[in-house]
Amino acid sequence: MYRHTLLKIVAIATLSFLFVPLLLIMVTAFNSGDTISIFIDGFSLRWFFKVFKSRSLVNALKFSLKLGLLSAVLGVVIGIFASIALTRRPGKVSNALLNLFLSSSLIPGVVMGYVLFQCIVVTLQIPLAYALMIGHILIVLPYSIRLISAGLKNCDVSIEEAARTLGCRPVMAFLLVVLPDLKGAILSAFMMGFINSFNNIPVSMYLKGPGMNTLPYAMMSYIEYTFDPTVSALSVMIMLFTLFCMIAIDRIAGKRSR
Amino acid sequence: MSFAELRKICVSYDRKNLILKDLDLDIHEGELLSLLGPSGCGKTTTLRVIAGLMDTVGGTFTVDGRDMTHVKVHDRGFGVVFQSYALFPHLTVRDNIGFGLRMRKMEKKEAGIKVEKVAELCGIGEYLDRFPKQLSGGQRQRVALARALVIEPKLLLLDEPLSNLDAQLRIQMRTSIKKIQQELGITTVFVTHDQEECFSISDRVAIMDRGRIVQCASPEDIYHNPANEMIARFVGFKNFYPGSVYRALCSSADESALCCSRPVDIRIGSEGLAGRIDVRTYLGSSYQYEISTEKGSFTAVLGEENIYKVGDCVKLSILKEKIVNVGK
Repeated sequence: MYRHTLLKIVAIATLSFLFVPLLLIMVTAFNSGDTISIFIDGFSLRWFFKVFKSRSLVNALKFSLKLGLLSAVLGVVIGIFASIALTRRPGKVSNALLNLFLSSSLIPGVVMGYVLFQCIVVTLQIPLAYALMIGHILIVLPYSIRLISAGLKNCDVSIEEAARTLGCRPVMAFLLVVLPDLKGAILSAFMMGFINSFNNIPVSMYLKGPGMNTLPYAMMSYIEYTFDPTVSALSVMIMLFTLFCMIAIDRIAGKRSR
Repeated sequence: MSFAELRKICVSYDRKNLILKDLDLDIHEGELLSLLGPSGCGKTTTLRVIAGLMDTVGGTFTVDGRDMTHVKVHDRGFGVVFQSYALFPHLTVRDNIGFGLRMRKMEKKEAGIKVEKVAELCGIGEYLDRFPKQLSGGQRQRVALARALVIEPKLLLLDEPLSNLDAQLRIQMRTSIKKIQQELGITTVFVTHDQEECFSISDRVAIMDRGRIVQCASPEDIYHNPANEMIARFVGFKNFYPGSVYRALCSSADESALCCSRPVDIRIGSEGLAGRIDVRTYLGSSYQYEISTEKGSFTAVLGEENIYKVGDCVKLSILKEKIVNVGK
């Protein structure tokens, strides 16, 4: 009984530590007053409208959405090809490569951003817009390779062979039979990739050029100069959006395993 | 000339060790030929070579006089049933069966009729709108078979199709497979490691061992005249001794070769090789005796009309035509 109570306390403490700040942000977002404060003057949605009036935030939101979608799409496409190559020829080399590709999720973003900046911007002189794109694809890639290669490993190889014996060319067999089976994995990979690209600061920080403000970066600079709850309101919207994505992933991925 | 011929087929995974070594196999039109052997003997590999799913490093494969060695899988037009069934999970039974016809760009209406006909033949007519997940193992098996049959293949290839089913369903399915095969007169190659299953439905059996075919004949032929000691043991022969030992049981037996016999063919009587009964086991309606003689131990099975006790001294004999020569 004692241990039970202790467990409860620890659990509640941990969860509070994780969620109370989020709740506080949510409270501040609905403040009708002019400052970020949990002692709110009254209920108001005005900061939510203010978000869309701030040109810097709206532009950054558009830019981040574009960047996130594009890098998630490209990351997933590359991930599909990489996963095919890595899972269809199992062996020491492909296992090592698989781990290598996944390792970029373990490298701190600051390090990756710096390395990319040094290599592709300074040395190779690649324009910053492309460099930022490459950086974000690298953020997406570990998620996409991990999820899609796991999906491919679960997929029976003889399904593809069966399609070929029924008159399908190899590429068609993949598109008609294997890809539909991977739908869940691909969608999860896309959403995970998108969320991670959308939330990323360190890589963008090194690689963004003039006029290329990503949303998290714009938010940071906004609170540097202004102390009103606009960013809180934006945070609430991002949280809800992320929650929506997560539920969608769960529905789609969960459906398959059921 | 046979319908399909494999000549000197060699297969290697690593370019060093050969999985199949100069394999020759003839498949006659309309027959059900089984490839039988222990796991790792190359029977599935042989089937994959025929299907075109595996590259060879040497040899030729012809069907109906046409060289198929380098024809791609999707152009061969053979029906294959995989061990795991390999049904397409996102398609209904109807679309699974119709997949091959869709690839052949057959008109929808015509394809629909064909799908229903073949589903009826395989006994799954009522499940056409279900998904593979909603079917039992036996039903999935039938869908896989229907999907392979609907394209009217020149060759039907079955890779251990019954190994995932329980014992009762297995017997039921193998009878259906045989029935459908005979009804359509379709040339079929069946891979299995189950001797009983194989002998019960095959017209001919090719027994494989370490990448070679060691005997290819009718089940009856293999049962009565096994080509070597391994096969003889496999089909129930015992009492393996040189011909000189068998001389003591039958004066006209051949001298040199390795011979064997079935326990039921050993006779106990007043003449022949003297021995003593060591062990007696009851088999239900007959007894099995282990008899030690000065030449070695023999196994005999006798009916209940003459029952011997352990320790009895007896004399063993055998008819010459019951002695089977297994070479060497």
